[in-house]
Order: sequence, then C-alpha cells, then structure tokens
Amino acid sequence: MYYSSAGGSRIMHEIKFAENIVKTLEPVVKDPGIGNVKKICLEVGKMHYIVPEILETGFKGTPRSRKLRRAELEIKVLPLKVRCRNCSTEREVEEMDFTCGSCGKSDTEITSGKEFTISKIEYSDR
Amino acid sequence: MAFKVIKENILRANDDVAQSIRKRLDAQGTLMINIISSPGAGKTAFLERTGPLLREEGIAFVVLTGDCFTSRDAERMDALGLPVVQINTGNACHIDAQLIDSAMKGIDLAGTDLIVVENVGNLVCPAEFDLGEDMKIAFLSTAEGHDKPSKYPLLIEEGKLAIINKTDLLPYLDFDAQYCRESIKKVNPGIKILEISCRTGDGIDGFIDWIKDEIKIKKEKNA
Ligand SMILES: Nc1nc2c(ncn2[C@@H]2O[C@H](COP(=O)(O)OP(=O)(O)OP(=O)(O)O)[C@@H](O)[C@H]2O)c(=O)[nH]1
Ligand SMILES: [Mg+2]
Ligand SMILES: [Zn+2]
Repeated sequence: MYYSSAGGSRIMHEIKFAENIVKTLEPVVKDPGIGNVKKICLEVGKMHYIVPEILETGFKGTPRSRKLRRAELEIKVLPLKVRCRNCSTEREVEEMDFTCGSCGKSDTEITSGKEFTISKIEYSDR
Repeated sequence: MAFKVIKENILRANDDVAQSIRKRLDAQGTLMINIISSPGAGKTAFLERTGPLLREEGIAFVVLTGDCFTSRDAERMDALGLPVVQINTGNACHIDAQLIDSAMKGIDLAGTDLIVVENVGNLVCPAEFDLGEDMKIAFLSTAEGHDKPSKYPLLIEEGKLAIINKTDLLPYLDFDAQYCRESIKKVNPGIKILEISCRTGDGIDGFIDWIKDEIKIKKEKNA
C-alpha cells in the first residue's frame, strides 16, 4: 500500500476550476498587445454543477499575475437541449428525459448544455 | 476595450494532464475505470468482493482509492492483499488528473491490465474531472433512493456502466428498481446496467464477465 497526497489543501471543485482558468489564461496575457483584463467570459452548460458565487470567490483567492488581477468573471449559463437523430426535432430538456418528444425515439444528441468554455477575454487597449 | 476569443475548456489544465495519462495507458493497452458514487454506496465493498475474483482470473490490476484524509479504504483492501495506492485529496471533493498522474508514478503499466480508481464519495464534483480513464462507472445503491439518476445526470450521461448495489436491501426499502433503470436510460439509452449485492455476491459475476471483455477490447485496440 502506497500513499499519494495532494499538497496543500483545497476545498470545492469550483476552486479547481478557478485555478485551471488562471493556468490557461496566464500564457495568453503574456502577449504585450494585451492590457489589463477586465472581464473573463465563461459559457457553462446546465449539465455542469457550478455555483457562480463559489467560482467567483475561488477566482478571487487564486494567485495570478497583474494583468489578470482586476478581471471579473461573467458566467453565461446555457440551456440543456437535445436533437433527435430520427426526426431532427430539437427541444429543451426540463425533466431529465432526453427521449424525443415528437417521435418517442431515444436516439438523441445533446446540442447544448455541456459547454464548459472560456469563451473570450475583454481587456483595455494599450 | 478590446477582446480576444479564447474558446478553451475551463478545465484545460486538468485535461492536458488527463490526455497525457490516456496516451500512456493506450500505449500499454491498460484499461482505466473511474468509479463514482455518493459516500457509502459500497465502492470499497465492491472492490473487496471483486478484487480477489479478478486476481483468480489472472488480471493484473491496481486500485487507486481517493479519500480526503484517511487511509481506511486502502487498509481494507490491503488486508486482502489487493494492490492499492491511497490518494489523499486534502480538502478537495474529487480526484483530479494531477493526483492520478502522481499516484501512477510507481505503477509499471506494461505489466498492468487494469487500473481501478475509487473516486472520493460524491456524485457531483468527480464527474467534472477527466482523469484520462477509459470509462466512468456510475455506482448507485438502493439505500440512496431511486431518484438519483435524474438528480445527477452528468455522471449518468458520461457513464458507460451503471451499477445498482445493495439489492439485498430491496425488501426493506421503497426503492423502485424499474423507475431507477428507466430514469438512467432516459438520460443515456446506451449505458449498461448491472444490479448487484456486495453483501450476498449477487450479480458480481456479471461485472467480472463485463470487465474481462473490456480489458480484451482495450488490449486488441492497442495491439
Ligand atoms: N446491505 C448491504 N450493505 C452493503 C453493500 N455494499 C456495501 N455495504 C455496506 O455499506 C457501507 C459502506 O460501504 P463502503 O464500501 O465503505 O462504501 P464506499 O462507497 O466505499 O464509501 P466511501 O468510500 O466512504 O464513499 C458499509 O457498511 C458496507 O458494509 C451491500 O450490497 N448490501
Ligand atoms: Mg470507499
Ligand atoms: Zn424524434
């Protein structure tokens, strides 16, 4: 039996999300053409569990470089939608039933609701 | 104000590590499964049951078990002589790819058919993190109630296998097994469902057959 342990202590998964966002954006903002970042726009589908307030708190607590320090998160939640592979009907899912409402077939695909993206950043011109 | 389109996954940093793990597993044809359940659904009991059977089948496997602080689960498996690595996640409610990457350091992949990850007991957060696994297993139990698939659809939607454990308790519960199965299929019609009891051993054979097939498929795919 071996041990493998997380260094330091972290709390919720939103904090991990915040750290991942910073890790992804640090190399991007190294570009001298990019000034201080004002806004980080996120698109998160309904299938994901995010409490925006915890993500924001997590983000505030994540160490980051000067250009990212003043940035605010804008979280856009996208609805859960499926499209039928049989009759092409697309609809929003409310009760957790992905079956096609039109023809009753279960062969549907998710067209919206699994997004988990940093869509863009807004920054001041130099 | 200027803007730049990024279009990167929020968990990009995690996913990069997960992809590198997946590559290493694929290169050796090692199958990795990620078992996710709420606390106490019976993941460790399941490994105590299946571990000795896997060994009898000649399958070389390692269990990576996640817990916030304790090593109780690893000790339970260690007592049976099962190869196990304890991953302590600290305050985190899930295992991420980085933790798997570190835990894999001592494992000889070439000599390993199967890596089983017992995630931290939690139906929400672990489903969000790609660990480089071949498949997620949604591990439910009758004592939790039949409405869990609808409440935690992400895991069900991404899972390849759903296990419903503790069927020995059915006579004492108002668990509606048909409703549970239907609500799983409403989210993921392609998922396989196994009903088992780690107490009586009912249905365990079905899992052993299934995993043997999956190990074979993975080996052939990467031969
Ligand atoms: N009756 C019954 N009890 C079970 C069964 N499987 C597990 N248990 C019991 O359920 C309790 C929790 O089991 P564990 O194996 O510790 O569950 P776990 O999912 O590993 O729990 P965490 O790792 O803490 O999330 C224990 O008391 C087990 O003995 C089963 O099939 N039937
Ligand atoms: Mg356990
Ligand atoms: Zn249809």
